[in-house]
Amino acid sequence: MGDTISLIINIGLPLTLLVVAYIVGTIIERRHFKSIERREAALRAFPAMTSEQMPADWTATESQLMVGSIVVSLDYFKRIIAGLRGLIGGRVKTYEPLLDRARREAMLRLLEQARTRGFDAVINVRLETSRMANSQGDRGTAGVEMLAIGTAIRLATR
Amino acid sequence: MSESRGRFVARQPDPSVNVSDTHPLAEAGVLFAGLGAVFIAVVIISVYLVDILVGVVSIEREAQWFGGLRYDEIGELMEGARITTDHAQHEQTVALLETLTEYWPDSTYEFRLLIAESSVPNAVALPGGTIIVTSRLLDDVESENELAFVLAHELGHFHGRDHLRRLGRLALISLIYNATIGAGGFAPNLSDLSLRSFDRQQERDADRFGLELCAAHYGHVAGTGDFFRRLDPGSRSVVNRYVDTHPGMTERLADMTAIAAEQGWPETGPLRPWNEPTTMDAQP
Repeated sequence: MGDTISLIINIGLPLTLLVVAYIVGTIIERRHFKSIERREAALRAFPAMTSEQMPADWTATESQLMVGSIVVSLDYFKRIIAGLRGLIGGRVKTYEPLLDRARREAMLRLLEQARTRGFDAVINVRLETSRMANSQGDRGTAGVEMLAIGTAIRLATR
Repeated sequence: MSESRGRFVARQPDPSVNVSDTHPLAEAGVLFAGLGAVFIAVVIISVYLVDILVGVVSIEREAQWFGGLRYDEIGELMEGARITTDHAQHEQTVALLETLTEYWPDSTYEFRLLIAESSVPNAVALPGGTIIVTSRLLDDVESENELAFVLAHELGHFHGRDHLRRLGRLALISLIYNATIGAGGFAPNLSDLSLRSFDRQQERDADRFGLELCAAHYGHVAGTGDFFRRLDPGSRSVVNRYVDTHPGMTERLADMTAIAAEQGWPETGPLRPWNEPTTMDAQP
């Protein structure tokens, strides 16, 4: 009997977690992508560029550092699949949508902020990531911060 | 933006380039199936590798490694039971064991029989020639034949060097497992579970050897299955059959009957009493 229980705990529990994590994770991801697409469409005409200098014919009346940041973490499903992938190498496909969401969400937060405060554009946009430490040391990842920074400018003439 | 540079048309970037279009479940399926196959292959290779290695380790070397286990160390393996030789039936049991080993003249093991004070009837073979029987087993047995089979079965494990095999397999597979999937957070007992079909085969072989010794000593195999008959918990589920280290009791008894029939060992015969002061070496 004890063995049946240990089998349930050792195989049944992770399997259940895997299924639940997949379903919940998929729903959340789908919703997030929808929200991202909607907000990106709304910001489509808002200029954001990586160049350090403004175009020569622009005149700025005000500038401010803008920061957009998001911390993302893995669900159990993605972690297990990526763990298996880590044994043989190759594209960690389950991480790709996660990081894509993080990048786009961080950018959106940066741009939405700039627009809300009445700025006209953001220049010198940079994206950075940093890994959150995990209390268990090397096992798993607590999360990744995606940081978008840029200089928001208000234009006199455009 | 200045008109002279041409009309700027804002477009959204194509979001699909950074995300592979493989369905996550397809990815999961391929990885689980592929790595599962590799894992099974590793388990099978390890089992055969260990079988080869066990052949290289001499019994003297085994005794050197494991023969010196202290009582408290053994007790820990037996779920904290007190290990002793101070038991009314210890001498009698040792005598029975010695009688049985006479039918296995090739053995170079020096056996040590210890008693674990426990309320669960059980017997265990430990590497290095140590046999543990629980006090409850000695209290419960109804005939010498029954106890003889339990002891002979444990001798069968030494004959197959099963304890050493098991130890080696577990060590090797745990090592591989922990270095790989274990890091992914999956069940550490999976490697143990995947070995259990091999364990069940070892039990069958040990049963065969036990029957052989009993048949040689008593001229029949009556009473040998009594221990299992009393333990029989009835029918077993598929899960249990996969998880158990031992074959189901009913299945085991059927196997034993088949072996006895095949070898022509009579299944009936006079049983010698146990725990009664009628045997020659009974306690005063």
